[in-house]
Amino acid sequence: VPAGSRVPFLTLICPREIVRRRWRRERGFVTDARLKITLGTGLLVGAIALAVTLSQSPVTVAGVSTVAQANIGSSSTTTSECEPGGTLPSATTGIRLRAFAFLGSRVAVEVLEHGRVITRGGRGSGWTAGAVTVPVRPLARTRLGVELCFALFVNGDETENFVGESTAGALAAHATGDDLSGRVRAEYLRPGRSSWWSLALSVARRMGLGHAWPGTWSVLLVIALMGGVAVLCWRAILRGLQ
Amino acid sequence: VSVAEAAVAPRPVRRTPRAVLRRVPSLAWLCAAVAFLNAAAWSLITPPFQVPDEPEHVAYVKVLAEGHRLPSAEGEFSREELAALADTRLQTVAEQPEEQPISSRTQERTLQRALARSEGGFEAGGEYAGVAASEPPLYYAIQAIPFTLDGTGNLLERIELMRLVSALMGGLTALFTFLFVREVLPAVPWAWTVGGVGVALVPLFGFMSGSVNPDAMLCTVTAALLYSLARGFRRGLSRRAAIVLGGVIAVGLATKLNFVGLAPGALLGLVLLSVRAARTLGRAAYVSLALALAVALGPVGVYVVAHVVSGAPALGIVSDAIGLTHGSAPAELSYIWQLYLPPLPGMHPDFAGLFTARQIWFDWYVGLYGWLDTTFPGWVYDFALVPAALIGGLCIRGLITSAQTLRAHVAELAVYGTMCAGLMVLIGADSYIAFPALDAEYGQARYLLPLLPLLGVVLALAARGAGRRWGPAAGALIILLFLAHDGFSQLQEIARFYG
Repeated sequence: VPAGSRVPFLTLICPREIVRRRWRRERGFVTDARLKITLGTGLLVGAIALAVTLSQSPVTVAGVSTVAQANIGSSSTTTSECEPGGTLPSATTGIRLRAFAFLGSRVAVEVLEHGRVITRGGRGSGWTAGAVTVPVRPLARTRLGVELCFALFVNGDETENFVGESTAGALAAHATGDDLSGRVRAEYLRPGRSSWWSLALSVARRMGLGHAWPGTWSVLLVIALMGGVAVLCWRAILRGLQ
Repeated sequence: VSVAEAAVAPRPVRRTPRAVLRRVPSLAWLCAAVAFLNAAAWSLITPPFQVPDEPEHVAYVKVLAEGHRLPSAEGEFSREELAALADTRLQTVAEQPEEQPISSRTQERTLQRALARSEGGFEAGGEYAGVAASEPPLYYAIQAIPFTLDGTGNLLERIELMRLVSALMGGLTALFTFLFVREVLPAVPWAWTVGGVGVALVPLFGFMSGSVNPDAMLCTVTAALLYSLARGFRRGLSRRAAIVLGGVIAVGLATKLNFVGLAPGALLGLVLLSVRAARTLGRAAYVSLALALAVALGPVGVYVVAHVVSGAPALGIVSDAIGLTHGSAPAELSYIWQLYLPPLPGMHPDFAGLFTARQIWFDWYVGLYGWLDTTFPGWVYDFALVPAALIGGLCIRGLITSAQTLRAHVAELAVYGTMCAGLMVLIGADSYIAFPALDAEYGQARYLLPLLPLLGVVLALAARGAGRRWGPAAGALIILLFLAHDGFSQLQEIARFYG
């Protein structure tokens, strides 16, 4: 080794490393500095995104418009409904309406207090399954006696079904479009108080239930499997992309 | 032949399975390992039956393994499966994002007791497999092996074993994808890894490969088919290669009905390869074609003859579906077009207010799991457009730089195009049966998963499009992006079912 030249530490303790490095050099294997920078930056950004996500709180149901869950009608044309006598909890960030569609239409929601809109939101078409969540602007305090109005801009082809409580008279939804026989179930969503970090143990316990060979071991196995995936990806990048 | 001539003549190479496996590059195995581990993780995260149609697919295996017969579309599930479905709360949880599976030890004990009580062999009257009953039996016959091997386990344990077999198939899909990308882009070895690993990390692919669903095997067969075709276009069609190609098509037809959409493209490829081979081999090439077609279509022929002889419709239960189609052919074609693309002038809008390419195919590829009830917050789908556009832009750049090479592969591209179009038309035609009561019954990104190897090529081209200096870095970034997408998708599923 020429005097003053840098000798990698690994080659001093592992003679095979000398052979390996020479073999790689002879075949033109050079790890690109850009590759290393990309990898490092990507992993850092990923780790930050994960930490931020897990620091947030899961969405919880702060209130519901009705407890019952029965089919109260369907609509195949644009429908707008208003349900009086509701309560909008404070900090509500989304309203989940119980409507079933395979390919849901555009939805708009407004909450009115004494005839004045206090919050509103909307979401585009393309939602599916048995509920549609519409994000709304959160309010600082709970409002009582509000009117929840929503409109579904159905295209006239697919039918959308509504779930809620069959009621009569003043409490039922007032519709323009297809009539419903009651109030649509609406759930008011807001972020909970605990972060995902603090809920990790209870989530892990629940993951161990209802599966084959029940137990929290499955969570550890999932972590090990995904750790293996990450290591293999790292290896694939360093081996394959140079 | 003299002794001297025999001594210098090249010895025929014996291709033992071990020798064939040894020739597979280690990076291809690495891609396979990534896909398998990822799918295995998905199989543990997803609660039993919380994958579209999994109860029906499990029922099919159960009837085949225990009753040694094909299932029926009528009747009801076996007692054991009914107990499992009830106590895992399938009816309450599926399609209801606010509902969750069991969450207490008491419920767990009830479930275990119910499973132990209802355990047993085949029950007469329990042959129901619903929508799965019309599918061919090959995938289910393979799944019957782990189902039977775990003789003492309960149904949930058997489901997990079957899911792991699907995960193995997912690993093979990634392996064939790597090999396919290698054949298609032989000049850019570093980009093969981007295609192979990228596909292995597609979350929807992991979700489906971690479940009991013939889509897992359909993806494997299609990837093997694409690889065989690409290999044929690069190295010519020998008799062995023709028979292998025919065999892959036969396996595909015996795996899932959706393969019918891919078969015309595959057969076109076989014919084009034979015509090309005939320039050097003469008539022998057409003999190879005939053999390949016999291998490919033989099982279907036997199936049709057996039904005709027994007085049943020629295509069995499939004939009923064909009879359900309605409306005029132009209306159906217009619907199929609009299922993927914006309507052309003069077309009646079948999806008013909906940009299907974005809202059905892109958004649902980005994140739609469980019984179509597990989604990301809305902003994620908007954000996903940015990396998708970047990858698309780089891919187009990669295509432009290799335009000259592309022109030399028009026939090959036509084959892949026909396969894509065939599958898309099949999905559209099937969806049209339920239209307009349901806008797009089969408009789900999972049905396009067999085309994943082509996504692998797109990813590799995108990395190549970044140029020689930045290409590897762009490739690494694509892999990290897919890894992050996969990880956050798993977290979303955990939040939905256990949060």
